[in-house]
Amino acid sequence: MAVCLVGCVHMSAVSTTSIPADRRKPVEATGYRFLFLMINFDNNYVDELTQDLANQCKNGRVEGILTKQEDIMYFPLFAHAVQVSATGYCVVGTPPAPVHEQAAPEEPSQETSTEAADRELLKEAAARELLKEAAARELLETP
Amino acid sequence: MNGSCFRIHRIVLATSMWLALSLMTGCAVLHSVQLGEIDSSVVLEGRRFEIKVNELALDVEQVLAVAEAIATQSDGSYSILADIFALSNMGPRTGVAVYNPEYSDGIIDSLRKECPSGQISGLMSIRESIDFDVISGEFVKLVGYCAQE
Repeated sequence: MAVCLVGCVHMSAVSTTSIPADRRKPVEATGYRFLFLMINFDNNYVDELTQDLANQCKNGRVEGILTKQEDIMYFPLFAHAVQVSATGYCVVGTPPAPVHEQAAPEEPSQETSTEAADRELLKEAAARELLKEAAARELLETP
Repeated sequence: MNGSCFRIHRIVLATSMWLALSLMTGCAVLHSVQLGEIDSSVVLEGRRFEIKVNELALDVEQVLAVAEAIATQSDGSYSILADIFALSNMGPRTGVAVYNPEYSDGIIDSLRKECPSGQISGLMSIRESIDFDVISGEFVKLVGYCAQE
């Protein structure tokens, strides 16, 4: 009898999102439904959780949300309840840029000294070709 | 004496009707809720949307239990069948087994249609069942907010 009066709480589901670095302002919202004879017609009591959290953080974002669902038994068969609680942190400020949009750091040059020398030689060869072409044109143009 | 009897009769009748109505309406069972990150400006100023997909399921164990109860001469075969079914469906699960396990796959496409801009915030995923004893409706629901274009 004493055990029945104390009641039991069962954890049904837990989920969380990424926890922010700025955890100065915690916010919390709870949805609760008492069930007589375990009869329940809808689960709409959880729909307002998002609005509740947003209203507590009007100029920012709610991050690091821990959603917890508990089944509570007050008395076997007759008195039960379901409680869904969501806790998070209100973060005010510009959101961090997604990883794929951040500017990639410049990669250090992997060019070796041999490759640099080859490139110089190619440049010299191209310049020589240009000079030859110019000389040939001049010869053709001279009467 | 007659008055008190009449009152008790009315209370019993009302309770029976309420219970019958409750059983006919079905019982909503919440299996899990998951809440995504919230951008308050989108949630408070954006458009709310709701996507719901469902699949009808037959509670075979319940059917066999009912069959066992109403059978006039039962040799226990129904309960053996129920045990076999229960053993073959052992493991973590939510709700009653469905015959089409892909019923919730299209929810992503529905989400794209509901908010083509992709600026969604405060997305809540709800897994629930509406239980009518022998049959049950297995639901997956998404509630979210789409930023105004």
